[in-house]
Amino acid sequence: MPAIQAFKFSAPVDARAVPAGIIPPRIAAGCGKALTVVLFSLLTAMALLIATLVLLPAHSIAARAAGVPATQAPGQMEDEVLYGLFFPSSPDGMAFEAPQLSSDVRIDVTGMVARVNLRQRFTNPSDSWQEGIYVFPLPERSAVDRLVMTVGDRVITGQILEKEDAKRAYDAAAAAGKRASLLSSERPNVFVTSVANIGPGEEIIIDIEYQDSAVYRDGTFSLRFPMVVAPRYTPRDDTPQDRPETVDNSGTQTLRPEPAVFEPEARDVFGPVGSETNPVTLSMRLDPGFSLANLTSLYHPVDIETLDERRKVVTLRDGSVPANKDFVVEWRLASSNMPQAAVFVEEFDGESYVMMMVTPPVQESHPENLEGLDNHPALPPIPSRDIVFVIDTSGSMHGASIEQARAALSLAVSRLQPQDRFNVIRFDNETYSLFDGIVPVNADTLRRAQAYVNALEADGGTEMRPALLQALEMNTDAESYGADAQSDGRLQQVVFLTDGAVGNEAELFKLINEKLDSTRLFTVGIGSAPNSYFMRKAAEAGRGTFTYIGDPNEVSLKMSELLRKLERPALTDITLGWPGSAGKKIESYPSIIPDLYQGEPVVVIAKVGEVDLEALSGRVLVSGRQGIDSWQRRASLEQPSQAQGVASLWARAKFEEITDGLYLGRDPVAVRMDALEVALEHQLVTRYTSLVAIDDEPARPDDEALQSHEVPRELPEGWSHEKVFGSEESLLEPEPEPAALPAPQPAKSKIMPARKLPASIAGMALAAKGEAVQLPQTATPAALNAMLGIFFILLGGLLFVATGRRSNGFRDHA
Amino acid sequence: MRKPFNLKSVSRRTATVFLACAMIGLGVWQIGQAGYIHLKAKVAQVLVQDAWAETLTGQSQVRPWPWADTWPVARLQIPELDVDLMVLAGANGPALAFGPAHLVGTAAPGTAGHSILAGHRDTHFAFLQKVEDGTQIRVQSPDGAWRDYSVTDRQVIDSRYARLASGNGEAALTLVTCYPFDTVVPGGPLRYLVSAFEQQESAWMPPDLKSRLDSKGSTSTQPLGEL
Repeated sequence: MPAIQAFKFSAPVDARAVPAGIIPPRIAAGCGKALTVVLFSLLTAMALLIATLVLLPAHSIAARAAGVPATQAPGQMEDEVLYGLFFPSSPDGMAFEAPQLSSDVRIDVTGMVARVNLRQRFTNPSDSWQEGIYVFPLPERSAVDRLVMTVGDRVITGQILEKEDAKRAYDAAAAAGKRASLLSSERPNVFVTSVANIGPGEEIIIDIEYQDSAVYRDGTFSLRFPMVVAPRYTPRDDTPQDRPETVDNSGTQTLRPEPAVFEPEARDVFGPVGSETNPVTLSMRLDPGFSLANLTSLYHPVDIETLDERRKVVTLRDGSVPANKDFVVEWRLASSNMPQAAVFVEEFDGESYVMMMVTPPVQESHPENLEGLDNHPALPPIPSRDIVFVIDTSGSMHGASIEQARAALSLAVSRLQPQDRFNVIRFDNETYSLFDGIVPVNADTLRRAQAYVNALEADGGTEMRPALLQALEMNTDAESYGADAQSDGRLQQVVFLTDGAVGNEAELFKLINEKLDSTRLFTVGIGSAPNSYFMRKAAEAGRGTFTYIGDPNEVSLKMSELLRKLERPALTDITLGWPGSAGKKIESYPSIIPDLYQGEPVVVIAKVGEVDLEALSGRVLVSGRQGIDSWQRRASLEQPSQAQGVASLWARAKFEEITDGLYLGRDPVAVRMDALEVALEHQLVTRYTSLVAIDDEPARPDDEALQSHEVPRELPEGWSHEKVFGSEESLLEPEPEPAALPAPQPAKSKIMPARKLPASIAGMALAAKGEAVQLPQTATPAALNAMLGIFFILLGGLLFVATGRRSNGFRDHA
Repeated sequence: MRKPFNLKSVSRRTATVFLACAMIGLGVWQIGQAGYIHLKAKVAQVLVQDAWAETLTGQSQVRPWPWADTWPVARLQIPELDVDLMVLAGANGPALAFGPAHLVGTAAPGTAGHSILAGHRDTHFAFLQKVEDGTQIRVQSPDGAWRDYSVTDRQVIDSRYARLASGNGEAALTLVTCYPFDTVVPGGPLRYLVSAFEQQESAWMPPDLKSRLDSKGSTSTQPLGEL
């Protein structure tokens, strides 16, 4: 064995020749045995691992059997009803700018009850089958109770179902090629219409009806229709490459449309887009029940046609309007006709529903305007107050909103009385307060406050909670300082100026409920479309009022109204007494009538149930207290006006009250059950229920695919689109030359323009497939490492054994 | 001329031994790697726990160790399964090694809105396979408030087609991990999702939080009064 010889000669290698020479054979043999044992166990381990691998499919089957849904091919998933928060869809985040939509609004007002019909016309200019998904706002207290789908001469009326059932039915119909429509509520003031299987070139008409009521305050009725539905916003046709890439990075999901700019020159691939595209027409018939003193539309030019002394028809002058302002109509009755009480009645399912408005007596001590105060020495002094002003200086308030807020706040500060105490808090993502606590009003503090207010700029996030907490606590602290606070009869007030662009509404309501104590919270909505749902609820929870300032010109007027309220104690402890109701159930909402401020009426809606209205034939007694005075008033039930929709409004009020229980810690299951009962009985679209209409016959041939598209709302200014032309297939193609954009492109005339929707819009439509989300890789290579490790050790061990055997053999031989 | 000769003569036995050593070394290293991954996952959680305690006192973005590029944003507990995990910011590779992480762009965990948390299927989120409908999950946000969620749904999806719907403002939580749980080779498009919604009764603030808020008082009073 020359190799071995050579081995022995080489000293450095010799040192490593451990197995051969140094280790005694017995130990070597022991090592070998040990190694064998180790190897055997390793082999066993490996075999086990392999077995696991082989058995994996069986595991998965077991998992499926255990209720885990099976993995699906993407194509199938499109039609599958998934209850998670994820919707599989095409891998790109594109939505298409079609089908086109036009809206037609008809409003009928009787007394203060309004019935609104909103007709949405979906047309499909493409040559493929489409699904249109349209997100739009409605008044937050609207009772949506009817959905009718019209295709050609087929008319299908929607049915109310539990939300999940409705979605399931809709999805199934959509998959089966049937025409279907789903109306669901994403938030109390955000609704979504989905329409499946609109054929090429086809038109589908969706009629939605809802009930609303006019708001009465200070002798004026007002009715509001949210208008952010009008013409389609299209990108400018000049340099497309100048458009900002991204849209709405803020990530806020609140509905907060800002003023939008309507550009008549704007155009899209179909040619110029003018007021004729996605038009909104609106007409309103008004029968106030008494003769009118005046009637105005606050933000839109209108034509008013007089039918007779009482009845008027209001139409938008231009037929269609820019959608940057809500449509608001206000009317006043001739003062001689101003009733102390108005009663409206509807029979529904054999039961009577009564809506009643009673104006409390105007206290003589109420000065009509504050300037007149000095001339009336007999008037009782304005009670002293502790007021904390809170102003939102977050980025969403930037621009006109912060200016309005500054003006409003400055006015409020200037109206402080010498006996008052106050503080100013501003917040964005941090909370800052001007003074350490509540300070008395004097020349110095007023000067500092004014300077502070005038210097406010809007920037940053919206962390409303700490600010609200601090404001509420500041009042409580002030109260506990001096025992004088209470004995003085000081009014504790927080005035909150914001656009309400917050996501954590429920949390804030909770906070208000807990911390309110004797403080009253007054919210002031700033900006062209504030989140009035939040602010109204916050004011309700805070037992104050909500003031909406939509226009810079209104600041002085609206703030003066508010400040008058702040200067007077509220009407409290309001109760109703029904005649002849002994032993009978009368369900009226709100069940606890909130405190009222000057100029506000008592509004209640009651279900009189089986009680015959005739039997009531008397008068409802409304009584309450203002300060130490008490008052009462009677409303006659004898000659009520008939008004359709009172029952729906009653149901909406009841639903509201039931779901408010969630903020008060009621069991959500019980709340849901109770709320569902009301919603189903009265056909209301709510957070638990949706309306769905399904055609019996399939319309779309099996072999054609349905494409799901969102119909964009009018987009607020400042949001821009990334516009990409072409169909889904041609998305891969390079964008056409910008220069070619304005020119009509015959080759693509039937192809939808596609674009990315802002996250805040896409996010609102649960049905709208949502945003693409990148899920990270979430497996470590640990198992692979371990297996490789075992494998290598095994291999090495085997090699060792082989060498060990060989060297042993050699020694034996020697 | 000894060298090549030596090499030649050595190669038969020593090289084999050497190779065997190398193999075993490699094997030990690989197993070490596997162990390290699990060790890191465990130890990091302990360090993050301290950082979370500091976060609860009002600090933000407390880094568990000085060079960390992540920080705890929430605490996740499933009492039933004895799970107690610190959730880290940013669901990227490094952060996921130390704990389940919050997917940037989704709502902060423990707040209203839809929040997505991802975790490794073989370390932190291995328990997900034991989660069933109705399992209770609690999440603590940095302000100390706990929110209770209840599992309503589990599903397997293809991540290439995953879309996030924002929901209707309800507090929702989705836990994501890779699927299937027991494959050896990482990667692959499948994900296992556990969806949970807030239990509304806990919308009411727990008394302990209330007292904490009370004691916190107006910590953020910062007079900006130099006007």
